[in-house]
Amino acid sequence: MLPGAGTRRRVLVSRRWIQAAALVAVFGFFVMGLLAFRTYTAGPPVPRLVVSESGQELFTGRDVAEGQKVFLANGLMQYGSVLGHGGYLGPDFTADYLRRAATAALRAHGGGDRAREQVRQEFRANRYDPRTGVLTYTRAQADAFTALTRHYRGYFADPRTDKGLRPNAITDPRQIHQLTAFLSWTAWIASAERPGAGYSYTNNWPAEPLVGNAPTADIVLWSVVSLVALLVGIGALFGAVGRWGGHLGWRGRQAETIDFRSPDRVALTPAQRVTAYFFLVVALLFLAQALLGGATEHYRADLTSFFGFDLAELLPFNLARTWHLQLSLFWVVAAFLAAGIFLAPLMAGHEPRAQGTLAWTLLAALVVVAAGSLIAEGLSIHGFVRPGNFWGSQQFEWLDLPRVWQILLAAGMALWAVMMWRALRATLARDSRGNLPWLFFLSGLAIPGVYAVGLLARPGDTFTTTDFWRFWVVHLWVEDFLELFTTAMVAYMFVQLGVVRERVALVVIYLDVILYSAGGVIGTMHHVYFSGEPVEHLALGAFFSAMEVVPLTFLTVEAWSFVQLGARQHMESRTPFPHRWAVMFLVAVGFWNFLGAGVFGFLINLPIVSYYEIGTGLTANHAHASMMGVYGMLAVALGLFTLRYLIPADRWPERWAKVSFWSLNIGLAWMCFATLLPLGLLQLHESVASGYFEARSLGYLTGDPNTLLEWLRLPGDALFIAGGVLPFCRIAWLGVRHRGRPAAADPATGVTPAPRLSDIREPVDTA
Amino acid sequence: MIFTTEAVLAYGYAAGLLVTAAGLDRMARHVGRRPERHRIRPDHDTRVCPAGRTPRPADREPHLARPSACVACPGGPGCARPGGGEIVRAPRPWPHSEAGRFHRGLALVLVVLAASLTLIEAVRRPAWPDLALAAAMLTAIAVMARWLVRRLRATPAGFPEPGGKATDRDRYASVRKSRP
Ligand code: HEM
Ligand SMILES: [Fe+2]
Repeated sequence: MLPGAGTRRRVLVSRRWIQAAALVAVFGFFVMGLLAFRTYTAGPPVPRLVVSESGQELFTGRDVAEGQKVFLANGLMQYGSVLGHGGYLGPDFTADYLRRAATAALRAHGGGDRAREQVRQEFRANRYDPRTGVLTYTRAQADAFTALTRHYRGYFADPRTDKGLRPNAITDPRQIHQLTAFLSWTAWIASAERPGAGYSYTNNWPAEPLVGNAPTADIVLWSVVSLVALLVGIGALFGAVGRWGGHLGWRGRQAETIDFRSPDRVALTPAQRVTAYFFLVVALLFLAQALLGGATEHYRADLTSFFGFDLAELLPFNLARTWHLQLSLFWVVAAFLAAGIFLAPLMAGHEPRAQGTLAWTLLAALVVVAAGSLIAEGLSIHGFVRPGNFWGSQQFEWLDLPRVWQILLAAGMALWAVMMWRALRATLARDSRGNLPWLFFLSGLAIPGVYAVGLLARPGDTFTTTDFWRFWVVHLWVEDFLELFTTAMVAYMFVQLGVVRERVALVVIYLDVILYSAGGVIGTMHHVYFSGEPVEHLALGAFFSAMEVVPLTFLTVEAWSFVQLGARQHMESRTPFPHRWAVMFLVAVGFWNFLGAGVFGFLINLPIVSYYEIGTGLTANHAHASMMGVYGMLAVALGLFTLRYLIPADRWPERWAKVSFWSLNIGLAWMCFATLLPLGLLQLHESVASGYFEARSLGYLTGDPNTLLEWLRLPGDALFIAGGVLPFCRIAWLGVRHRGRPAAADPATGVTPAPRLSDIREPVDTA
Repeated sequence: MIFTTEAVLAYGYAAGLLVTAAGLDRMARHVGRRPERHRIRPDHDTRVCPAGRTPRPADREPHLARPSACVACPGGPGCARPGGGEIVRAPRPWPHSEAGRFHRGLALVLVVLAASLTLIEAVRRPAWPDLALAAAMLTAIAVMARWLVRRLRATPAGFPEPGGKATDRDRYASVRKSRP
């Protein structure tokens, strides 16, 4: 029986916190709604028909859509990029088409300054007629299209594998025609001026002097504004922390002393015990992901042979990278879900009947989705699946999994949300909607919710709109909702351990909601500066994403205090604190949040930097330092926290946890500082000095200092895998071997009481 | 120019790594501080200093109380710096101690990397004026490494064992009070 609403516990913090958080979130999503509207109404048109001046039909709008599907199905977005988005080994095909087409046109006009001016004008003039939906290419542009169709046929039908693609990747002439049509369209929006504006649909991206593409006034202006915004924001924040710091953060007195229960005294519910298998899966996926990363990296260091073996026949670069990225999401998400399953009964005090069965179902579903989608991607890249196929092909970078698997994954996470609801139902009914259980539940609910938004990106839709929705998932997940859910979850862990008061935890969560949402929601637009969106996306994206850095700075300042947590209790507890390495991994999360997300993210965030940098090495640097540094370390922390209770105390391999901690962090730091950062800096220099096309060329990437730098990361990677991932696998294996101590269920109701993790001893006055 | 571009870039980057390592060491020190000398009274929005007063923070430095407030205070010499009352004093206990170790450990990794880069570049381009740069770099690296190793040694993890007190403290974390 659920008690009536009248008996709800009162909200523990001031209502102002709730109001402020709601206001910020509503404002952010209101603006996002407007931006979505503008994406559809002010994006670049896809012409119904493209003809040459003589009226000859070149390609249709359908060809563009089909060509995008061909591009995606063959995993080309994990090889090179379009409009700057995708992999970094292959060229940016937009810049590639533009350069080749403009060069061909220049040659056709006879070269020289007059010809240059003519090419510039031809490419910039917008000859699209919105009434008829017909776009007219000049003769030179039309000839270039024909020539480039031939070029790409040769390029993709190449029987060799020395580019990292599989041999004879695309041979069907119709598909080549469609693919070229798609690339031609992206090049057209990149050079043709927006009606009424002096710059192209992509804000003049990419930098291509042949077609007169150079940074616009807006790019410079909003770079300056966002830089100022950042400085003012940080200044204001530090001012506020100095003034009110005592109320914020995790500082707080504790009135009681605590004895942490030894893991041997913690009897687990059935679903909690199933999480042992979850974390074994997490560890194995992590291992697979890291090994695939090694294979991906090997292509960059030595493109033509894998220690004498032609790997590209089986595992071409783009497939290795697809799997590498997909697995990074899978294992992190699986760890989050498992931690949720482990924590929910602690929050509720008991676990309902059959929750263990549901946990098994969820795990099975996850394994099926992971395996099924990875296989589908492999089949698609090897050409066994029709482009755009519902079952077998989608392959936007990050949203690689084909549609059916995407739906199943969203459904799986929804099943998890149902499990959370079952476990927490009574607690939620008793508690104020502003308190911790509700925040935990709601922020958990947002994870499948945001993920489902990705379904709005369909392979045949206009790239500008698909990219808009794609980054709702990619960005809003990692830079907003996962951060929130993380805070809620970690807060809860420490409330459970008794080292943080619930009220203190709540204040921190609300502060997080406000700070992250203030910048992070609209900040999504920092990914679509150049995807064909109107200029307001760039302006708002630059301004608000600069604000994102503010909480990251704050959190590093505060993250430490957040584990300060009644440090006094550790000393006074008669039992040892069981989570030394879980906490150290959280310390690492704080560090990488600052360095990987804050510093390396902001490094590439200004529109003027992004204009030259997008799709180059500094993005890889940021992505590794933040994805692994923040979410990878966090997943390991959650794993160690849970595994601690699954492994008997005398079997707990404290040494391996320590080795794993140091190896993962040193390995990651080495990877970034030995290779990714210097490589990215050099490539950015090349991009500004020689040109974006040049900086993305295979010749540059495999050139002299680059190859050396790529090899230089080997020791770090080896340490990461051998010293970091393998010990974690071992600990997870121990978890499955022992699976904790079972608690007895009530035979009548099937309800299992949940364990307590600590005992509060006599109150002592610490005031 | 007398040096090759590549050498300047390589050694310049190595120098950048040293600077970053020094930055990490600073962070480690920051981590260890505890702005707790002054406590916060939650009911009022005020700080309470060790003498039980509520001095206003100095304008520039939120961790310092106004000098004027401390001059007259009997406890002043014990807890004030020339610039004002010192709010920061005791090193924080675990996990801050170990977080400090973490930062210093990573700083040392960067120094090792700087050394590797310098050596590789010196072997790749063993031309004369560049080698002078390499030698200078290696000297700087050696000095830095020694300094960091000492600081790392002096930063124990400080993980509290029950019964025993976590006695070790990070010698480099506590901010020295004003010298009398
Ligand atoms: C934990 C937080 C974060 C994570 C996990 C993260 C992760 C990533 C990843 C994986 C990418 C690559 C996306 C792709 O391949 O298309 C990316 C791109 C990017 N991130 Fe972040 N990020 C985080 C925070 C930030 C912050 C705080 C900023 C700046 C304020 C930022 C700025 C950027 C920018 C500008 C790009 C686009 C680069 C490009 O497309 O070439 N990120 N991020
Ligand atoms: Fe982002």
